[in-house]
Order: sequence, then C-alpha cells, then structure tokens
Amino acid sequence: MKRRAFIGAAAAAVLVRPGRALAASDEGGILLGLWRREAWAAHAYQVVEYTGAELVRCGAQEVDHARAIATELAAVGLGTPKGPASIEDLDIAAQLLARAGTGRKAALSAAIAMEEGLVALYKDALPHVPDAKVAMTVATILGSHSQHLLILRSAAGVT
Amino acid sequence: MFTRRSALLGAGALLLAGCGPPEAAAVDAREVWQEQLRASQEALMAYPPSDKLRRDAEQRTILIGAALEKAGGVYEDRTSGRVAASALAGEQAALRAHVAAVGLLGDAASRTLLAELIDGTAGAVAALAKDSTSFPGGALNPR
Repeated sequence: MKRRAFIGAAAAAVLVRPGRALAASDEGGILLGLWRREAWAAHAYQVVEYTGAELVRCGAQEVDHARAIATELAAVGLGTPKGPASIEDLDIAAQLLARAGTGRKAALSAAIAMEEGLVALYKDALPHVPDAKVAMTVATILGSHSQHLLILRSAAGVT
Repeated sequence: MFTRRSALLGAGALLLAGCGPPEAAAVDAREVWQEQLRASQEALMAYPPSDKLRRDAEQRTILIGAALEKAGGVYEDRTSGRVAASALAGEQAALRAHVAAVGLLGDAASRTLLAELIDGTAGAVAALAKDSTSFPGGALNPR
C-alpha cells in the first residue's frame, strides 16, 4: 500500500507540474526576449557616432536593465545569452540608431523610435509575467524606458 | 502504519487538488486600488493649477478611480487633506505604489492599467526631475 501511495503522489505531481513548467517556460521566453532587446539597445547606444549626453545616459541604463533581466533569467534557471557582436546582430530599430551617424537630429529621432518600441514591448509583456517579483522588475524597467522617451523627446523638441 | 498510509494518501490528494502549501493571504484588489488612488491624488494636489502635467495626472486619478469602482470601492477623495511636498515627490511616491501593485495584482486587466499608469507617471517624474533612472519606482528585488 505504501508503494501505491507513492505512485499516486508521483502521478499527482506529474499532473500538477505541467502548468507550472509551462508558466516558467513562458516567463523564461519573455525574459529572453526582453534581455535581447536591452542588449541590442545598449549596443546601439554604444556604437552610434553621435555621443550626446542623453544617449550616453540611456545606453548606460540599458546595460543596467540587461543585468537585472539576466538576474531574473538565472532565477528561472536560464543562462545569459551571448550578446550582439556587430550591428548586423541587432533588430531594425537598434540598427537604425547604430547607423544614425554624427547628426544630433538623426540620432535622437532613431533613439526615440527605438525607445517607443521598448515601451510598447514592456507594456505588452507585463500582463503575461506570472511571477510577482519578475513582474515588478519588468514594471520598473518599463518606467525607465518611459523616462528615456520623455527625455529624448524633450531634447529633440518633440512634444 | 495505517496513519502513515493515510497521511500519504492525504498528501497525494492535496497534490491532485493543486493545493500545495498554504498560500499568502489573498490580496484585496479594492485596497490596492484605494492606495493607488491616494498616492495619485496626493501627487495631483501638489501640482500648481497652471502646470501642463497636471491634466495628465488628473486623467490617471480618473483611470484609477474607475478601477477602484470596478473592484467594489468608491471613487472619492482619499487624501484626508494630505498633499505631497512637491509634484515630483508625489509622482515618485505614486510610481512606487504602482510598481508595488504590479506585485500584488496579477490579472491581465490590472496589469494592463498599471502599465499605462507606470508609463505616464514615470514620464511625469522624468519631466519634473529632467532626468531618468535605471529603476524608477523602487529598488530591485533581492535575489
């Protein structure tokens, strides 16, 4: 009977586990997506030829975001992926910033477009993050990108 | 032996039911939205009447009020006469409250609204402080 009870408990554990495993998998997938976008954004800010103070500051903060998300990735059992090696590795928005050149207007315009995409990405992600602590991290980084957008739009004279 | 077997069967039944260990006390969404409204209203009242950011702050309190009513609460003045020391201090406090609420409310509708509130409030903080930070609205969770 003891053996049967153990088998029952094991079967129950198998029945309960898929939902949790799926949630963890979804969360890991979301975090991986966020990490990549942060790493790409940081790379773009680092390589764009125009080096205005606003862009340098945003770039440094993207690095902070990537580190924070890497910590959350580790918490769900995933490693930190390899970062981008060149501009070709970036998404289109980050590539446009990286290739914006020395002009202030073009660089700010590209940075604004990229940050708009990041704000939208984090807003979309927030309802889909089950873990409360991870969700709070996502929430505070969303706030940071909203601030980037405000600062960059102010610098560009866009209201 | 019988007791041990019963305990094992009981544990198996609990696992099947998905009960697991006792969870933390259930969150009262109404209380959470009341706190969001209080923080948002204290920030709103600290804006000078002519400040162009005030209208957006007012819109945020209206959105929170609607969420509070949906959660069974009453949309009313929750400041008890308190006003934030400055609009910046008020919006920073409101942002901390919104980020904390994300950890309390997991449903999609609440998270979607909180994302909007965080977007707007963080923007207001940046406009007032003329600066951005890596993690506005509170320190990161220790891991």
